[in-house]
Amino acid sequence: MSTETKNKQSENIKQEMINLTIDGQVVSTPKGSTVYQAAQQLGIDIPIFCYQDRMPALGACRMCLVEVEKMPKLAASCSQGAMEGMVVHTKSKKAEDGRKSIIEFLLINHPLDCPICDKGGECPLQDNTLDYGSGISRFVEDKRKLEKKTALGPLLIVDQERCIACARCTRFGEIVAGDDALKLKDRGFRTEIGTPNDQPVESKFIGNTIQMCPVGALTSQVYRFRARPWDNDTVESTCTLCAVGCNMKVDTRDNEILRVRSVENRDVNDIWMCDKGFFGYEHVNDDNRIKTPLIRRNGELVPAGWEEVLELIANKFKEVKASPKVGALGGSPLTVEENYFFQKLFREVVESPNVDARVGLSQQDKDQEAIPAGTEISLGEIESLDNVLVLGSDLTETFPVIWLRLKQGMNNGAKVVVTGHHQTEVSPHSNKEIIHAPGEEFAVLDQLEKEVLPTLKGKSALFIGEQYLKSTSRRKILSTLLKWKKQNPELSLNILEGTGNDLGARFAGMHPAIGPAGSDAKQTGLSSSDMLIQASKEPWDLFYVAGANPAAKVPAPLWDQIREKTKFLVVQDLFLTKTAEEADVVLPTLSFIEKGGHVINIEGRIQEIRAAKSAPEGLLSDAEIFTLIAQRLGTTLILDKEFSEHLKVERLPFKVPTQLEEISASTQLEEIKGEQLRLSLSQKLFDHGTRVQYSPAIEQLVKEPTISIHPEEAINRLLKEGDLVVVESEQGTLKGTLKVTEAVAKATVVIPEGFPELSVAQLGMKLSNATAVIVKKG
Amino acid sequence: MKLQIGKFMSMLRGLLIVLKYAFKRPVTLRYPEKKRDLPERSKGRHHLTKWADGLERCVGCELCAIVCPSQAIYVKPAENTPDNQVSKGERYAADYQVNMLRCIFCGYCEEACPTGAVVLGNDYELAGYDRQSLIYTKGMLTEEKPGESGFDPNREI
Ligand code: SF4
Ligand code: SF4
Ligand code: SF4
Ligand code: SF4
Ligand code: FES
Repeated sequence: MSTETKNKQSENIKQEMINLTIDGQVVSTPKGSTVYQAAQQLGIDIPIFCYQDRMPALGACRMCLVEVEKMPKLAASCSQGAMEGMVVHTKSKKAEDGRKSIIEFLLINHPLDCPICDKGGECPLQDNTLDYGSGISRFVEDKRKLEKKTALGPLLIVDQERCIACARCTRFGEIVAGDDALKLKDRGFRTEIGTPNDQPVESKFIGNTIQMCPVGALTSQVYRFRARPWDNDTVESTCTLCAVGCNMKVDTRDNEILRVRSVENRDVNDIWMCDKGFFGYEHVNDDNRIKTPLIRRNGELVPAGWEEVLELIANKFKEVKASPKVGALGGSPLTVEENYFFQKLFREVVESPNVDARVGLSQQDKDQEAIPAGTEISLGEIESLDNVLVLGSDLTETFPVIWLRLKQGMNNGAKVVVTGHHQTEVSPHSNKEIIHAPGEEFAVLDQLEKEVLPTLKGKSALFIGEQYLKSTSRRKILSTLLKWKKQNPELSLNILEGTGNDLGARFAGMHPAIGPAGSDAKQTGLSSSDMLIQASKEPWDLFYVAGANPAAKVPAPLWDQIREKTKFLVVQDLFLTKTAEEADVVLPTLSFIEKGGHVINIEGRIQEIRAAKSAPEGLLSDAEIFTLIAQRLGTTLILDKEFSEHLKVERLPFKVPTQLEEISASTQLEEIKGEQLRLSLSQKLFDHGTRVQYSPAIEQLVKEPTISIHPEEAINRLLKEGDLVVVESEQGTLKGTLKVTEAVAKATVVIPEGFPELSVAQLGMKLSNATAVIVKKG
Repeated sequence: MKLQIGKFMSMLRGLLIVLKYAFKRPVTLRYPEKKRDLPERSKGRHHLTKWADGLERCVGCELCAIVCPSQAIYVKPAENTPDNQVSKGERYAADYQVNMLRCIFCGYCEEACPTGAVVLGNDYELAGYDRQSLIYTKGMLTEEKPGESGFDPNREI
């Protein structure tokens, strides 16, 4: 727990305390707590169903009945406020009989089909019935008959008969996720679970409801009938599918991953995860994974032995040693240690300074970038903020669980102002929203400075996202925000950018200008886009790509030139990506579930990942591959002691300068001429990246990518929804389907990244938000 | 002297018992030519039984697997589909194995089974030349026709 949250809590404790007696023990508890919370303080167990301590009490199920002296009836302890002098009995005959009756009532209509229920073995209803039930029922009538399996979308399956109408799942959608994904329909024994409009469930967080349902009414389609809890081997690890870094448990059976569950960490994900984390591991089990090293012979990629390929690579490395035309690309899915080896192999063994983990991300140089990604506050502190400004960040798509934490902050009273190029899922919850075209950031910041900044009281935070950061004015924007910070010292700056282990790769030194642990690189190399541009023009000796797909991140004609001019291309990946298909040597490697190491999340928190299953036969981890190659060149790659010391801290320090000096160049905004619109790149949680593509359940959640513009712009161009349109930039064109929506700002065209079928990379190499483009009928 | 007589007498008594049994019918059988009739409820190898309509009783709940004190049972469940309805309801055992080398024939699995699917029959002649052959697979355990293993296919459980 961070010191700040602690302080806030101790403040509460300084509040009035009240004393009450529970089962003969006296306990003193802060005013406003409930009898249940007071009992928990004493370690007294009271059974519950509907109460979930992250949401206000509802008092729907009555499982938590206790006897309170001088009260005429039994009280629901989860919602009964604790009062001075109260005398509570949780184990008196009256209380126990009350709970027995409640269980008996709950079971009137519960089908008791535990043998075929996936919750069996870890079901609170089973447990409470065993511990607090009477063991027999006086109800012999027929039970209600309802739909046994209603599939609501590709992840969730509902057994209507089993639902005990505790409303945990529906309230999660209302209170925690804000997406109102599920609804209780009808009343009493007719109660059923459905969605607001009887469509498949629309949510990015439905896995949490599966985890919260106290019975087997909500179960996962992916885990359906795969195992019993006692079959599973569980390993705690960290999700690396985005930069939040949720803590998770991986359950495997017979060395196959069956499911992922969240692990409580108040500082990071609390008890939540998103569906990408819950179900996005499926690619690890996919049969399309590369199983042996491949080598190009007579134009074909054919299987080869490790000895042969490693020898070949080592020999190539000898040939190209110290050549300026050698580059190492990628590293986001690799651990910190692996990234460290990767850059060391190139900087020290191959003697090439061209290393860059950022492939396709915005690649500003250090000056333009000004401040790298990172957060001043810890994610846990978001829940206790008073004011939040979300500037150009699509939270649910890029940092899903940060949104859940922010929503809890709003439940605690935080005011949220949102700005951006288009509306997001956060919009309906915000207190104020400004939608504007790319390039108008400064006008918006001015407005905020006048209207919002003076009103900020208490702890406030700025979250700035990729819409603003992928701009040529990034430095100037950040410098404005630093000015705000000076005016309001309680305002924290949080830069939300990147995915996976991007921060870890950077910290390990996979950056052309930065060495390990943030040191300056001895020799500055080329950024990945500069390498690729150079390789498209003149012969290039070697590219070594690990966990990246540059072919999908540059315009297709340019890639063809690069490939033609690159003499030797090595790709290390799980799947045969577009880049791998054209490589000279392909090395299969391990996924984040099969290896151990460290990763660094957006707050700079250093977390561990652990192998939950053994590596598929014949596969090596990225670290092993780098080490073996180095060995063949007579070097041993070891983790510097000094560097590994750095990995022992909990969070890397995130230093924000007090001000940024102006640098004149590159802040110039391109003029808009005539018909032109400004481009805004958006991100999607469920895109068509390789890992989603091979994860069948979440793959079904991917929405067709579209090119979105405002209705007014559509009318001006005589375009309508569904039209095939062409987007033209100076460097290229892109064809796609048009979506006309008021969610997008005027004079703006929004295109998602991460879709091969709508590859925004075709518009040019160094795209930024606000690049001028033309949209016309295709 | 007295001690010596005592020793001799007890030896004689022992020999007399031997002599007495020499004229009785032997308790041992000439196995395998002759086999003993077992009590009806003696416990031998398992059968996976079926309902009278031919559907498998086992729903793949794994209660037998968790109750087994010697961890002899392995179950892997799967979902019934309209084209492949193996048991009643939604779930069936796609794989079911009993390791006869581990089993102690306690019958707990039969006791735990909610559908009366796994039952212990009277067959005790379980020998093999290697360990592998003593892991009984689902195919070996499942009765071909309902009632074939001697248990009434119409019984409740
Ligand atoms: S589906 Fe589960 S969580 Fe939702 S109301 Fe029913 S029992 Fe509660
Ligand atoms: S929010 Fe990110 S880290 Fe957390 S579960 Fe989702 S993808 Fe994984
Ligand atoms: S009889 Fe006993 S030991 Fe043998 S499989 Fe059944 S439960 Fe296990
Ligand atoms: S044999 Fe019985 S207890 Fe074992 S899995 Fe099948 S139904 Fe369950
Ligand atoms: S837990 Fe208290 S009423 Fe449901």
